[in-house]
Amino acid sequence: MFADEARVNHDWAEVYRSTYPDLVRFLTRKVWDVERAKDLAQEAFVRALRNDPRRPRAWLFQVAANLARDEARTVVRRKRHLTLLKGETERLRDSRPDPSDMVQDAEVWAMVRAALDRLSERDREVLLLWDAGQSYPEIARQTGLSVGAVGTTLARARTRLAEAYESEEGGSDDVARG
Amino acid sequence: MSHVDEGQLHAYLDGALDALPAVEAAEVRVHLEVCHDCGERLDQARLMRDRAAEILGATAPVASAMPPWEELRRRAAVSGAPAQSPRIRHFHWAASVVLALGIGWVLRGQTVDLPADAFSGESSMEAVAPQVPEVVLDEAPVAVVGDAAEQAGPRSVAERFDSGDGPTGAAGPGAVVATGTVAAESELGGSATSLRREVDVGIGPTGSATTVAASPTVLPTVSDRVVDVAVTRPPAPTAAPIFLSAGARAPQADRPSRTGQDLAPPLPLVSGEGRAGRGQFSRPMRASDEGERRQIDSTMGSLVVPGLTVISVSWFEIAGADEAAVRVLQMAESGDTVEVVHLPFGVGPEALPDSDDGRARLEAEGPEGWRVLRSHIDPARLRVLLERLQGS
Repeated sequence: MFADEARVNHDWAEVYRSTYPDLVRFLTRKVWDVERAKDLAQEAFVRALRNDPRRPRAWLFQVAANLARDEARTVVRRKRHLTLLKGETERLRDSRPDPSDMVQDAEVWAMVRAALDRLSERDREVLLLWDAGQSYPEIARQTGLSVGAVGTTLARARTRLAEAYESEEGGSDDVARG
Repeated sequence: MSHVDEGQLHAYLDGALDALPAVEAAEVRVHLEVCHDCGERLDQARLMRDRAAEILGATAPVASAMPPWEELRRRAAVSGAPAQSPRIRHFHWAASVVLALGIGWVLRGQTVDLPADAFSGESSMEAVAPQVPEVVLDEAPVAVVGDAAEQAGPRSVAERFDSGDGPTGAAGPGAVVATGTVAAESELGGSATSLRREVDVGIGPTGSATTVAASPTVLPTVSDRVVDVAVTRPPAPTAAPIFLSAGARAPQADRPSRTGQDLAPPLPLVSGEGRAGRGQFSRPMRASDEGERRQIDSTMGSLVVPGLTVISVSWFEIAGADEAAVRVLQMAESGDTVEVVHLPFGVGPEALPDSDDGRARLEAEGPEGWRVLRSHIDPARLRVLLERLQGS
């Protein structure tokens, strides 16, 4: 999408410093595996270096989304990279250097993931892009929405996420009480 | 204006109002100043936005050390093709074998499925040549490799071996200063196969780097050693790091050749750590020294993590130790590099200082001495690799 545009010189080290954490954050909610998200983020940067896109940040998120999509397609063949939440809990517990600093209880992850799954693909994409620090114009460019529609989509996505999460929480409580 | 819609409210909250048309943005701001109802809706929208952020924040990855930028640049230079197929991965490994030039170490690789004509000569080379990547040995400057990648496309490998061009006559970039062959013994399907591969040492595109070009031959389980090197001009002792340039065009004629006992002074293995001023050196070995070769072979076997791709091997001096340490740089499936250092017997792991780049480090003592693993991968995964190494 952006590869054909005129190239400019980028401070790639700075792009990396400022974008990598956001990219990992975005990808984590796509593949539900922090380590895999890091792998994919690095792969996106490697590809960006080879392609030298004009708008690196937007390009990186686009490539990251594609990588995550490819990942999902091959998830059956790559079970070891898939977060099967129960198993992931153990893995995270094993690998976290400091439990208080490490990511969250798997139960919360499962509920957030289930809540996100209830959103439409577009709502979810816009929400995750915003959460990863993308601006409205960048979100619009990546999703094909108008800039004006980004706010509307975000409003809807946030409301539905909150409702879906409350619903998941209720179900979890029921099970716990059950 | 009519009341502000939900999208405008969220754009206002997100500080994105200016992304909307200027007139619309101004109207929204004015309206929110005067409309009590919209003010209340704005408060509700803020609660909803914060709640959504809180929910998503529960799954936010914890900030951790980022891999060094230079490492990604190196990976970008190494992996010239968009997707890294198993064959390309093997080329990385096979190319690293060329490090044997001048030192004669033995490298053991993993058995892979090869086409039946893998050893049939030019046709197989031609078939795989377009996938030959630029390969960085050790810590070569990325800029140099990048230049090489631009100047020498992968196709030129096939051209070089097919056309048998004569000498270019150039003394600058691309000029070959030494050539030779690496003999390889390989087992494929239980039967031993022998073949020879040509290697060239030359001057890199910047005029300061030394390049090596190797014939694109895939080798499965293999023992390689230098058996024949002809030297017209040895590289300078403090030459820049060797890197592989698959596209280097090498003159094939008018070059004196010497073999066997008449071998010229061994070409030094020049690695990133071997550059002047670092206090480290490479350790050239003679191919004829079979006893030492076997010793190195044994050491290598304990330093290559099964399943990982060897990128480079180098030797460096440890202060106060009689023997050199061996460093094997390997690439994990994730693309991260894993450094395995074997310290000479009697030298403790404290002799290898911590890196200050955030890499995890594991140490393990074995009967031959300490081994130290350093990598940016997760410490738990690094431990798995160590266990795999210890079990190999």
